[in-house]
Amino acid sequence: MGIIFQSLNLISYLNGFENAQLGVLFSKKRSVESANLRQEIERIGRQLGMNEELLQKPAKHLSIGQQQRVAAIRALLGKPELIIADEPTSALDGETSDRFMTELIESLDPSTQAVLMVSHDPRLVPFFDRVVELK
Amino acid sequence: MFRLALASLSARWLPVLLVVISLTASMVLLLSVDRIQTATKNGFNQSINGVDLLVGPRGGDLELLLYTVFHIGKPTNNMTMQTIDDLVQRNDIDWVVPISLGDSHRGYRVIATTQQYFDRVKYAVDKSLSFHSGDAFSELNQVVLGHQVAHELDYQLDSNLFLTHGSGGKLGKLHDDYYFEVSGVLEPTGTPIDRAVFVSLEGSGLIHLGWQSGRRLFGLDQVDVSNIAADKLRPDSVTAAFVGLKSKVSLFRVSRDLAEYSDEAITAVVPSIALSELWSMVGMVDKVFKLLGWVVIGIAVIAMVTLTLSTLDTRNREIAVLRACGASPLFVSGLVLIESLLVSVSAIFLSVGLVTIVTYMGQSFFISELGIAAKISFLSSQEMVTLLVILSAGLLSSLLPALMVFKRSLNSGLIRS
Repeated sequence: MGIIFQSLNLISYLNGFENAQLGVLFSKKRSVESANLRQEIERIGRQLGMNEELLQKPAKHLSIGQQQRVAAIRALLGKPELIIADEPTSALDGETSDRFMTELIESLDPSTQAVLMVSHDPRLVPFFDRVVELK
Repeated sequence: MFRLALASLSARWLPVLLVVISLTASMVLLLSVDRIQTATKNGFNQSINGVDLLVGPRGGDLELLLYTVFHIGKPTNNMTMQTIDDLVQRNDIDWVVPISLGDSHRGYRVIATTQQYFDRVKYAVDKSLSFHSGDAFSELNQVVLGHQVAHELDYQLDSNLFLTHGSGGKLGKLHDDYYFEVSGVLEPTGTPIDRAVFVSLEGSGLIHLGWQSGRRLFGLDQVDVSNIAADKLRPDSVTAAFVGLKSKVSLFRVSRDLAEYSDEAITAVVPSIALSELWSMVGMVDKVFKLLGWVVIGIAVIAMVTLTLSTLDTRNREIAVLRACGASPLFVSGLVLIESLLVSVSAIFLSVGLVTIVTYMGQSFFISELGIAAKISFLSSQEMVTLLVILSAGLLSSLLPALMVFKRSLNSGLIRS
């Protein structure tokens, strides 16, 4: 299970790589062989539009959009079966939010991975197979 | 976990550095007080060595020690030369070095003795006196200076100086009718010997020739110095004597014998026993210092806990993120513990390094200026114990913030951030 929060997801003094690693550090199921760990982070990073240079920077020097992408890498690392996201786009503007969602969904493996997302933003509806409206 | 702790610390490097510095400073204080104490105690107990017995007129044992070894205070009585001669006759006594106090030179005590003094009297662990320059006195008019005397008063070989009658600085009358010449300067010893001026008994006898009961009857300029018979210069009495025995086994028998010596009331003191008696009286001061050192350490540990606690609030989110990623409460509190461990360990290494470097660099300075022979040692076992105590104190005290982290629920950090 991977989690993406609304905002301020990262540990500010760690760089992108290290923050992403936290996703698998404490989980036995979501293990990635340490030799492949960096490559795996880079691979997911590329899908989400984060290059290696950006991943080297400490989280506090990244923009909010970039930070959310690192959080997404962390949530996706090790192929968790379920990713829970709590308004990951609320801190992003419309255009960035669209791109983020596209990249996130594209990086998933449709046969084994699912995303459960809570959001106020009706523009995100087309990205999902099922939508439940809470009242 | 370790790398995470390190990264977290370096992200807060300024307050962490300050805590490390304050911990280091207090540990340096404690360690150096410890070392100075050990060094002074050793130096003190080794102020005199190679001498089996101090023999002097009857009186307090400590007084005898004080004026013969530390050149403090005034002898109340003298002992006759006849007694010294009797001592030399005894077949269980190896050697006798008589010493006579009373004069001074610009505040430094003058010790009238024999050449044997420089061979027999030792200091520290069996170190003999050695000459920095020149040699022992061989003529009437020659003096040997302790290292500090020569250093402070800027005397070289062949410098001329007058002696003063009595020990009190300016009040005493100058023996201005006869001057002495420096024949040698001793190496620094870190003992009162550094602050002493040595002349021969005969030389001292000569300048006191025209004196009676502290008044000068005639000056040496009125007599032909070169024509005085040697036995006339030999003083009738001396202050005390250093005695070496042929066998240490007879130490207590000889001292008992001497205490019962019938011709004169004399006493014999074993220097090491008297020294440790004296130390037990003056040793209180450094206990106080040591206590202060511990207090300072306590304050530094409290500062460390304060830092950890105060940063916990700002680190709420960091901890929550870790927890959300699946870190157990145990892991997070372990993280806090490791951080304080890192802080205390680095402070310990810093302080030990500093103290070692300072003792190494300042060794000659300590001996010549302070008379403290600091031993170069990395760590004594006693210091190890001290450091371990500090380390465990640091760890124990950080248990509190660690426990707070452990108990804090997962949601508290994320929701309010």
